[in-house]
Amino acid sequence: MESMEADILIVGGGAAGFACALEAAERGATVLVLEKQPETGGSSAMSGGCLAFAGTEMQREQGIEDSAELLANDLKQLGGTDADPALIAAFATHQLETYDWLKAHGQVFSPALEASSGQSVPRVHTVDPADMVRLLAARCRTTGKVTLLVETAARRLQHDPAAHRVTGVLAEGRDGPIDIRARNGVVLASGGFSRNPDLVRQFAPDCEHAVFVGGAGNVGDGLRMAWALGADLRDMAQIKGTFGKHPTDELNNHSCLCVYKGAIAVNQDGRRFVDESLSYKLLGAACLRQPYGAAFQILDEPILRSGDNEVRILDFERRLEEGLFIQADTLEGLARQIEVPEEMLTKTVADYNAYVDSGEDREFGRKHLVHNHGALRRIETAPFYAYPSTAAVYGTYCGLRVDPAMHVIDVFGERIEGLLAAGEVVGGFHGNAYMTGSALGKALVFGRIAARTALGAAAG
Amino acid sequence: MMRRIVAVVLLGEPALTDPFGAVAAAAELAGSGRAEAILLARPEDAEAAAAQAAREGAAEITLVTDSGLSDPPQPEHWLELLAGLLAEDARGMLLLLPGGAVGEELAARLTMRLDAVPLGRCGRIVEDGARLIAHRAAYGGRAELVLETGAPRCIATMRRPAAPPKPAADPVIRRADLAIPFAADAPRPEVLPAAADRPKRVDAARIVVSGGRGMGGPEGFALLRELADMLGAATGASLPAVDAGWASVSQQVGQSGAFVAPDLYLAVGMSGTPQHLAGIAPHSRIAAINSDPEADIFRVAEVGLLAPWQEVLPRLIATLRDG
Amino acid sequence: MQVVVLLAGVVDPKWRLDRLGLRPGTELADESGLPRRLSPFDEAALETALKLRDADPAVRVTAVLPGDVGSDALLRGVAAFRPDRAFRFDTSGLAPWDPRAAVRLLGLAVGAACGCPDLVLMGREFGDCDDGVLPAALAEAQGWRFCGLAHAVAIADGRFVAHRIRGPREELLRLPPPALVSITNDRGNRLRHPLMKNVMLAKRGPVEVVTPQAGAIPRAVVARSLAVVPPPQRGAGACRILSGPVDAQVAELAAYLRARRQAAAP
Repeated sequence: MESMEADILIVGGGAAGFACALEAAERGATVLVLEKQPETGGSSAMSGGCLAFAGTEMQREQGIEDSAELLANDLKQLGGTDADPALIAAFATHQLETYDWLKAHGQVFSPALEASSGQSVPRVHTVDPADMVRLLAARCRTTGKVTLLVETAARRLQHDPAAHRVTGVLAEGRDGPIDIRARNGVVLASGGFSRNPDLVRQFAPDCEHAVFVGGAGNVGDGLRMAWALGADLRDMAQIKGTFGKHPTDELNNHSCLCVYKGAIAVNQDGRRFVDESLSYKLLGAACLRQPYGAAFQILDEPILRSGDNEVRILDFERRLEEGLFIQADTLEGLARQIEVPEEMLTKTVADYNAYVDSGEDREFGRKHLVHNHGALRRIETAPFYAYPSTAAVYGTYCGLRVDPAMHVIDVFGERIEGLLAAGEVVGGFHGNAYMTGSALGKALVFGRIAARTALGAAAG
Repeated sequence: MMRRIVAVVLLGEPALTDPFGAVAAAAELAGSGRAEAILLARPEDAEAAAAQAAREGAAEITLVTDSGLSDPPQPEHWLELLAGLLAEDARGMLLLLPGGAVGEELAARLTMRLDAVPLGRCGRIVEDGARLIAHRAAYGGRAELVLETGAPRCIATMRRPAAPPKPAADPVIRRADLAIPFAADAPRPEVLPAAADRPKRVDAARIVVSGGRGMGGPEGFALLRELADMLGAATGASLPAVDAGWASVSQQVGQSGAFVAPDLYLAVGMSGTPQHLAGIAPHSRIAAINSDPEADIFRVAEVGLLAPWQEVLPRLIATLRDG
Repeated sequence: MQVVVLLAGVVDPKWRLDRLGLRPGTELADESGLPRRLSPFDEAALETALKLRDADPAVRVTAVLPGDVGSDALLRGVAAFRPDRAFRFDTSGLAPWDPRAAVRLLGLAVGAACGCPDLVLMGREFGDCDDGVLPAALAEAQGWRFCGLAHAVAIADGRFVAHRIRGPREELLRLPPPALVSITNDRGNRLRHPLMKNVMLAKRGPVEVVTPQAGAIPRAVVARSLAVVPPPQRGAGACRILSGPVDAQVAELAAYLRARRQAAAP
C-alpha cells in the first residue's frame, strides 16, 4: 500500500479545509488536503457567499456600529439553549482577524453590506464563494507546503485505542488505498451529509422530500468516521427546510418568497394549506407535509411586479426571465399547466379573494403579507403565475461536538486526541436558528482555529 | 493500391468561410502530386477556381459546372451533383469536404448515397496501406478518438492545416459540364430579411470579442458589443452564454458552434474549456480578461488581464474612445 | 401527428475524463463512475417536441433513449416531462462511433416508436461520439427530408417550418413529412422544468425497454484508442499577465488592442 505522511491531514477541500491548510502552512507545517470529488470547493463554492463579520473596516466606512459582543449576543439569542456559548465566544473572538486575514490575502468583498435575519445591524459581507475557495487554494499552493489530492476519499480514521488518539487516515485514491499518517492531527472538514439519504432519513425524517442544496460529496464521511470512534453529536434535531426553493431547477439555489408579497401557496390538489405569512421555516415544514412534498405559489401580474430585484428572495422578475415561473392568461389555463384540478384552483383563489375583502381568512387566519407587515391583496389581474416550490435544506448545520479549540469530543465528554473538526461537520454552534453568514464564516474561523490547535499554538 | 484523395470545393456557398481548406488538407495528407480536387461551380466562376485549387496543392482538378445551380446553390442540388459524379466510380477513395455546417451535412448525407463510411470532422488522417487512421474529437472536444477503417470509400470533413500548402506546378485539369436535374419538390429555404440589429458574422471576422458564463447576464454583453464596435470586431459567445439567452445562436463559438479564425480573439469571462477552444483556429491569438487566476484560458492566451470584467470593460471602452 | 425525439445523453461535462479510455480487449468506452445527463442539444430537441405538442394537442410525442441499463435513471428524468411514451432502446454493446451501424440502430429505434413518424427530432450532435454525422445520415438512409441545426420548429399547413441561421442567412425551411430536423441550443428552446409530481411519479414508474430485433450489424470502423488529450499549445505558450494598478493594466490592454486592430485592418 502506498503511504504518505504530513504534519496535518485535512479531509475535505472546501472553505474550512483550505482556511485550515493555509493557516497551518503559514505556520510552517506540511499539509495534505484530501478531496473526494474531482474539483475542490464543495458546498462552500455553491453557497450564497455570505460571511457574518462584526466590527470590520467596511462596516466602519459605512457608519455601521458593530462589535464582537453584539454579534455574540445575536448568535446566543438566535441559537437559544442549544447553542454552545463557548463556540459562539470562539467565533466572536476570532472572526474579525479572519476578515482581515482574508482581505490581506486579496479577497474582494462586494461593496454593499446587507442586514439579514437575526442580525441587529448589517453585517453580511458578500463574496463570490467559488472564487474565495479558489483564492485560498491558490495561496496554499504558493506556500509550497500544501499537497492537494483530488479524487481521494478518506475511508477510516487510524486510531491508537490505548492512547485514544487518531494517528492518521486510511484513504482511497485514484490508484488504490493510501496509508496516511498525520503527525499533528487529522482535521475533518468534510462538510455535512445532505447527500446521504440514509442519514437524512435517520436525523431529519420530515425532510425526506426536501431539496438538499450542497456539494455532491456531502455524505457524512467525516461524521461517520468520528462517530465510529465514539464522537458525540450536537444539534441533530435542528435540520429544517426553507420554503420557496424551485424543486427541479438546479441553477438557482435560493428561495423565492412570492407569498411575502401577496401570493398564496397551494398544493397539487389546488388547496391552500397554511397561513402564508409565517416564517419560511414553518412554511417549509408545512409544504413538506403536502402531496409530493411540493406546492405552488400562485400570484397575479401586480404581485409579480411588486418584487424587489435587490433582495434575493424577492427578485421575481429575474426568475421570470430565467423561465422559472409558469404563466397563463387565465387561472384555468394555469391550472392545466401545473396539473392541478381547474375548478379547485379557481375556487381556492375566489375564496381567498373573498377573505381579503371581508378581512377574515376563515381557513388559516392569515392577516398580513409577512409576519405583522403588509395588507393582503386580491389575486385577480391576468396574467397569472405559478412558482413551483418546495423546502430546501441549505446545509445540515449539525454534527460533531467540539470544544472551542476544535478538538472532537466523545460521548463521555473526553477529547479524541489528534482529531479536530471545522465547518459544516461541526454541531452545537447554530442551535435553534441560523444567522445568515454564520455557516461560511464558521468554516473559515473554525478552520484556522483547528490549524493552530493542531500545531500547539496558542488559540489566541 | 493506394486510394484516391479527393477534396471537394463548393463555390458560391455563402456559409463557407474557407472553401479551399479541404484542398490544402488533402494535399498535405496525400503528399506531392497526388491530391485531387472536384470543384462544383457555376460556369462563370470556374477558371479562377481551378487556378486557386492548383495553388492549394491539387494535382488533378475536375471542374464540374452546372448552369442550373442557383445563387446561392441549394445543398440538395450539390448532393445530387456529387452523388451523380461519384456513384459509378468504383475506385477506393477518401473524399474530403470543407469544415462547417454545409460541408458536414453534405458529407454525412453523401455517405448514404455512395455506400461510404463517414469519418466525421477529422483533425488528422493517416494512410496505413489501404487502411485509414482517422483522428477526431469526441466528448465535446475533451477527448480524442482514433478510428481505423479498411472501407474502400470514406468521407470526412477537414479544415485547412497549419502549414501553408505547396502549389501544384502542372495540374491536370478535366472539365465536366453537367445538367443534373434538381428535384422540383426539394424544399427551398425562404431567406428572412436581415434584422437591423443582427450581430456581425463571427466566423468571418478578423477580431472577435467573446463572452462566457462569467458575464453573468445580458448587461455584460451590451458592453462587449460596444467594445466590439470600437474594434471593428464581431461578438462571440460560449455555449452556456447562448443557452442563457445573452447572445444569439449564430454567435456561438466552439466544438458545437462556429469555427472562427480571427487574428485576435478577446475572451472575456470565459474559463477556456476544450469545447470552446476547439472552435478557435490554432493560429488565432487569444487575449483574456478573467478574475480567476486558475482559469484555463490563461494557458492559451498571449496576454491576460486578471480582474473582474465589470472593472475592466467600462474603463477599456473609455480608454479606446479617448484615443 | 407522430413526433419521435431521439435522445442520446452524454457524460456530465462537469466531470473530468482523465481516466476515459477503451475497456481493455473491447471497443467500448469505459465511462464507469461518470454520471450521464442530457446534452444541451438533447434538451433542445426534447423541448422542441414538447412545444409542438403544447401548440397542437394532436401531436403525440415519443421519446427514445438508446442505451444500456446505465441510462435508466436518465430515462426516468425524461419521463418526468410526460412525453406520450418514453422507452429505452437497448443498445448494450454497441460501439457508437461506427456511424453506419449507429444509423441502422437508430432507424430501428424510430421504427419501434411508430411505423411512420411525421417528424423525428435529434440534437445537432447525438451523444459524445458524434459530431453531427448521425442526424443527416439517418435522414438520408431513411429517405426523410432533412434540416440541420434548426433552433425552432413549428407546424403550418401540414408542413414543418424549421428556423435556422446558416452563415450569413437566416432562413425558414418548410419540410413535408416525414422529416428529420436536428436542433441546436438556443434561448427559445431551453428545456422547461418538470413538475415535482411528475418527477416523483416517473421515479416510481416502470421503465420500458425495447430490444432491437436485429441480426449482427456489419461494422466498418474500429476504434484504436480513446483518450483525453491536452489542448494544443498556442503562441509562445506563456501568457503575459498584466500587472500594476487596474488603470495601468487597462491602458496596456487598450494599446495592445489598438495594435491588433491596426494589423487586422484590411
